[in-house]
Amino acid sequence: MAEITIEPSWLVLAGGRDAGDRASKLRRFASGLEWLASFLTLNGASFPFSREMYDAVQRLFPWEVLASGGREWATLTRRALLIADRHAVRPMAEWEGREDTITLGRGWIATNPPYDDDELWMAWRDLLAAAVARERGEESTPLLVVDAGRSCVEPGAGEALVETGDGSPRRYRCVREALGGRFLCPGAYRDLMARVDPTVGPDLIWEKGVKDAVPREIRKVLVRTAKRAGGTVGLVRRMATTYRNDGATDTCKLGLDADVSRLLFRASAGGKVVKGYFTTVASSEREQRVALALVEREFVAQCRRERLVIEGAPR
Amino acid sequence: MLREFVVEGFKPFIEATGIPCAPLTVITGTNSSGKSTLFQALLLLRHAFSDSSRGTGEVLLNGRGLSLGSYRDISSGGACAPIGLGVKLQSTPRGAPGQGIPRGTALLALGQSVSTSIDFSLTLRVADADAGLARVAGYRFESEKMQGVESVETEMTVRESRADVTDPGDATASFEHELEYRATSHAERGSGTREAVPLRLGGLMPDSVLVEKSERRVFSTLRAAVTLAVRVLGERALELSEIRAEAAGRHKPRFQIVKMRPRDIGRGNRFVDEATDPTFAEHLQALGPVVLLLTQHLHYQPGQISHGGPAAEKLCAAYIDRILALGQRTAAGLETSLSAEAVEQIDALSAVNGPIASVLGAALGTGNHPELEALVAAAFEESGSPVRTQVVEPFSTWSLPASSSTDYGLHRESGIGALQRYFADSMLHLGPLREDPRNLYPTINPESPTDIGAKGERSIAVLRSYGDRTIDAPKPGGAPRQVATTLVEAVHEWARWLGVLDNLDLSANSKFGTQVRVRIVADDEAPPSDLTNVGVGVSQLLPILVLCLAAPVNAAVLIEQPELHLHPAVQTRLATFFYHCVRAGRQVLLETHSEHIVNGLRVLVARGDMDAEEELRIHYIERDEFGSSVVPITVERDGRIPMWPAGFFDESERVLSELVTARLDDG
Repeated sequence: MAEITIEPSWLVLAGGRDAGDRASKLRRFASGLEWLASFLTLNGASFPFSREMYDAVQRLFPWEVLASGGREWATLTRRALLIADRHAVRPMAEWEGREDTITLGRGWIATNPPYDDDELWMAWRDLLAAAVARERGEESTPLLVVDAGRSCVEPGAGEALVETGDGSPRRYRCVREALGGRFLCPGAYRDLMARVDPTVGPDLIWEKGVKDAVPREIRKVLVRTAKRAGGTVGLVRRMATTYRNDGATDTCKLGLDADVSRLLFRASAGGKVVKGYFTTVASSEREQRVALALVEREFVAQCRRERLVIEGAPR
Repeated sequence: MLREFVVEGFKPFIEATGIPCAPLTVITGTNSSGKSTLFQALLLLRHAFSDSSRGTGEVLLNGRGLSLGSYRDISSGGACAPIGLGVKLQSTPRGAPGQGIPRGTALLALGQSVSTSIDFSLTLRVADADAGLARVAGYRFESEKMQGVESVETEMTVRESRADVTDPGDATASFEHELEYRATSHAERGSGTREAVPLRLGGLMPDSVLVEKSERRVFSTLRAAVTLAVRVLGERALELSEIRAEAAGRHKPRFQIVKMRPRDIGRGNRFVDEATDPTFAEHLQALGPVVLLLTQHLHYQPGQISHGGPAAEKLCAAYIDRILALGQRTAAGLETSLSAEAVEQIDALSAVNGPIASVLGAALGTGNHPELEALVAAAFEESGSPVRTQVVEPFSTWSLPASSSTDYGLHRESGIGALQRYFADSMLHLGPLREDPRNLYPTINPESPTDIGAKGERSIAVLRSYGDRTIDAPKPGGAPRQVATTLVEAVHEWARWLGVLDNLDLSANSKFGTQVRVRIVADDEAPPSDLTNVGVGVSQLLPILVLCLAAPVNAAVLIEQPELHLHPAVQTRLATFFYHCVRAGRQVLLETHSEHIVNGLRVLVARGDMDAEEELRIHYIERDEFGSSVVPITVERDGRIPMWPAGFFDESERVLSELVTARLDDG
């Protein structure tokens, strides 16, 4: 999956915005981190990471650390750094090195920013980094605001203004996309994974004679996909073949089925084609799309390892 | 350097699996995934080349440093299925054209044809399914060589290939020998010549190969020397560019000189020999010191051929006598080319150490005789040669073990002999378990500075016997650099840098052995303790340090579980130690479960110290019902791992996530 860059305000889902006791803030923040990790993993996403953000993650908002001094924050900090290690990328070169010259139009700052006052400008710089990273500095291109309620951008703002050191402002048009559109929703991912029983491997059902008749490459792709999809055992409950044909050469493909628990596959190698389906634990269309993403990732990886041609990919 | 190795049908590696290698290669994976199997494959190859049953075409599966059980145990396809093992080696160019004659050049200049790449694969079949015995069912060998000196103006490459041998007992294989000649500064461009020399193969094992190879070796060495001389001595020798060996008959060997002017290349060549060309001897004399050194190199006792049979021995001896006779005629030429002092030095070294080429090889390999290298360089200078060189590092150090029972002089070549030497001298292994610390280490005599044993049990003995030996060792702290120091001092420095001790002292107790006393903290008043009274980590770390630091340049050091009993901080620092060793010319292959070592390497990459593309390979081994397979792990320039396979050091992240959730749920 191609890597995409998301707005970094996801990192600060539980700042000082809401009132509440310390425990609820911690829970919300931890939940936000796991949500972020799921989101990044599910979507193959990365986010730009700056030195300031690193410091902020380590401190996880100073007022909270100072007030609590609890070990939970240290644990959360380590967790955040692990997520950053997996998914953070350096800000783009266009942004790097211009930190001191960039100012931001205060009018566009959200009323309840998730960063502390000291980090406010940092949040904006990260926003800029995200935008620049996304579109390589094309001023009129849209900026993706993933969640209007939590973004650094004002909920009603149509564009973000960024002033650079030479006084020339850059405007970014803001676009709000619902989750489930461009991105797969971690909520659906969590619901899906909650039903996975990792102790139960998938049933592998081969049509009579198919298992021995198809090339070993196809067997490896199908079995490994069924067992490893989503990085865990149990997401796929069944792999079954329904059709086999010799003398045909085709590409490999995975797609949705009308039955939301099923994903259809076609695998071809050495002049033999096998069709069938994977039955997953998905129970809704939303979950089926998530399941497709997870299974397809493994399916494509296995096809590439076996040098099988994937539909739509260059031969 | 080991560029890649291949296993097939060996334990969980059912299918042919290639493992690309870099100067630093890390192999990770879950338990029983097949990590150790990969090292066992290399050790089995090493064993095949050193097996005492050589000459029989059989390979013992158990022996020193190797314990594989029966053939049935290791063949993934059952007793009837073959096992395939292979290696690809490549020399590492050092220096650049026009930079004078740096270390290693003189060896080339002596006419050694150095392999620039070797591709070797071996097929084993069962000899006895329930015994630890396999037989060589065939092998394939390809090499690309650089002969003499590659100059700015000319380039010469010899490509050898040998067909698969299906029956080593009495097979006669065609040995293709292709000479590629390219004269880039001349108007004419040569297309090369090709010759086929029938070669009876006596199996893989060295002694029998030696007999068959020896005649070829004589030819190819002499040819290389002459080829070189053409470059070195200039126009006068340009008429003579190759001596061709032609096996005219087992009892009528003769030499042929191929006269090849640049314009003649590719147009067919005129064959001459002593009888037909009166200038033959004159040409040879013109070659000066090169040929004499060559003949010294070929100082060879036919009686040492022990497995080839009388006929082969006689044949070989005849060739060698002939060349020696030719070489003696050039003695006068040598006297005038080298100063009396130089000759005296050469003779002195030769008297002490045997054949001069062995001495020279050792000197160049270990750097212990810089004066000899300077002497050869001076000889070139005296000749007025316009030589420009590119240094090609041989696979092994070319230093011969003093206790070698076989005259490997004729093996010092490109080809299968180079491979044999590589496995004998340059593939070093430390197993997955270490010996317990002791109060007193017994007095034993290790064979070499790298003979530490599979458990590191002879590490202290090595330090005792070879600790004072001067080595070029990486220096801890700062950018990688090498300094001349003693082995024991280098070990001491690195152990201190890694933070496991402050002071290391070896004291001999003549009656009982060697005592090792260490001081953990920098406190002069604190009494030193022996190894049993300090943390176990010290004793576990010492074998790693000794092996890596004592390893010769270009050696492949295979270390299993380097992290044993070490604190995570020390593990992370070990990554830096290995990196410094790599920069000092060693190749390091690690089999590890240590996330800290991997992260240490990632930090080196992120800082820009280490080139992830050129210097590092990380492989994750997966195993399922289709067998084990290798997933390459890419480390990007910022230290990030973009594709993080499930199971690859994700346990800490997973557990931390569970821990966070559990804590908060409790609250």
